[in-house]
Amino acid sequence: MADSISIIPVLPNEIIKEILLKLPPNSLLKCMCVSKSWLQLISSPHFVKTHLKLTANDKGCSHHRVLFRGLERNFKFCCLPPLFYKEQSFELLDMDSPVENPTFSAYIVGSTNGLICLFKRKRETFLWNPTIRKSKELPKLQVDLTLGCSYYCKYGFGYDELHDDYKVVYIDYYGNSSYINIYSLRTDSWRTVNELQDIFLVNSSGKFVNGKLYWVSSTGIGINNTWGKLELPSCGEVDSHFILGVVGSDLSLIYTCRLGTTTSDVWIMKDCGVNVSWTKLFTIKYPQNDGLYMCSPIFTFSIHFHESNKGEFLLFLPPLIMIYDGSTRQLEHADDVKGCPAKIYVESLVNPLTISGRGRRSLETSQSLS
Amino acid sequence: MSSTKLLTLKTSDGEEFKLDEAVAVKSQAIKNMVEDDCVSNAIPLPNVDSKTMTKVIEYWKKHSEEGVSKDQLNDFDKGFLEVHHSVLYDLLLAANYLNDKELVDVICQEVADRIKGKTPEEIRKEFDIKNDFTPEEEEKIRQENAWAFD
Repeated sequence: MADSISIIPVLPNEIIKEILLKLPPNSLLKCMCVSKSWLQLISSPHFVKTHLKLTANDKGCSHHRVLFRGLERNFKFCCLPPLFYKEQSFELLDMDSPVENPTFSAYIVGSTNGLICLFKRKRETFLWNPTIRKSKELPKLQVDLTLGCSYYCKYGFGYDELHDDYKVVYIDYYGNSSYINIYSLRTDSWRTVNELQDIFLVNSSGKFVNGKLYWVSSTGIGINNTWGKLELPSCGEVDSHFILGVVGSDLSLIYTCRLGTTTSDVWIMKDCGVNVSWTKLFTIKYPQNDGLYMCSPIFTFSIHFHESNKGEFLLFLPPLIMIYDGSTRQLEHADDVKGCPAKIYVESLVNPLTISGRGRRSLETSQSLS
Repeated sequence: MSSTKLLTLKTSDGEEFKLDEAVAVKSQAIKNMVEDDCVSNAIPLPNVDSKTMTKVIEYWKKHSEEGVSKDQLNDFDKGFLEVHHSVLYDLLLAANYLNDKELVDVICQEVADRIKGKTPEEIRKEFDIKNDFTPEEEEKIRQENAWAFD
């Protein structure tokens, strides 16, 4: 209908920012090419943080993805909502990884803010953002520890909000002593801190919830960074088995009273600063085989929960994905998927290469950010 | 019986629009003026022309109507936003000036959806942005994220 030359009005920067915040990461990578000011805006830490907040808090979880160990040794991924809502089409897509043969050789320590921490057999550790396909290999730990990945080493990965830093924690035991090694992405270096007295951590990977890392220990739960202890709900049996998971932003626990039983209880912890309380959410009843499989200490399992807005929980009991419906108390298998579910992560622009002090953007711009 | 208060808005090209106060306060800017009690005469809106104001009022009226279902509103919004991008940007600037967060958000989402499938060159054209990269610089960025450009 334009009968004259339509003059395109110039949009002010605040509006351009609002528009760009609504774009998914791969569109934003294209937008980096548009102009220098767009590149600077999109790469700015403030923009990355604001964008992450929007994608992480999206009620429909449309920006959450699930990482799978594919059957052909490589990683695959899919969107989270179709696992809950069968009407949505489900697609498992290929994905590159910084590690070769990731299905068998990579151990996933944890995932925060779109970064996944991977650990390979020979002590190679990576921080990887699968959405923007950038990864950073961590410098090797100086201390020469026990060979390979022993049963005794414990890991954790989390985000330190106070310092806007990502930390990887690696705890190892030699004989009676334990050493805690902490890596900071900002300084791109490791440091070793004081020992843990008399606490033996049971599960390998710590769960990161609300700024703290949690492990199950032989006497309760230990928390990083300043070690503390938490009481666990228990039935008193010596043979009980705990697996930690995360539901939304709360810590949860699958508790099996005795190895070999067919039920496990799922508990959730609410931490309101002063008080910590555990509430039993529901009980899982396995078919006989699965119960035994899950509780065997030989296998390391990571359990992931996710609550949909219908009140359903998604559990990853590799190789199965199960959905627990709180209202009907039914536990059912999600559709069969050709792969082993590994981790839920959120799409983000967080780039591990640019956060560390040594990483510089290859394209330096002359203007400085205001 | 309370009388619905009518406000008069005057656009940049001198046209006057009469509108219920209840509808007009969707604009935080107008709401502030009402609260500060400076609306006895026509409210001047020098940054909005009559064409754009007509559209904004159309949106406000539809979103103030009673008995409209969410689906009907969605359909309305869809049709409302199906305009040339220069009209969309005029709307966006007006909504921003009038400080109607909801309308700004809805239009920004539409603009974002339009950007999704476009190449950088197409985006530059649509926003009338000058490419200030050298060809080598641009190539470097493309190569870093080559897979995103497929």
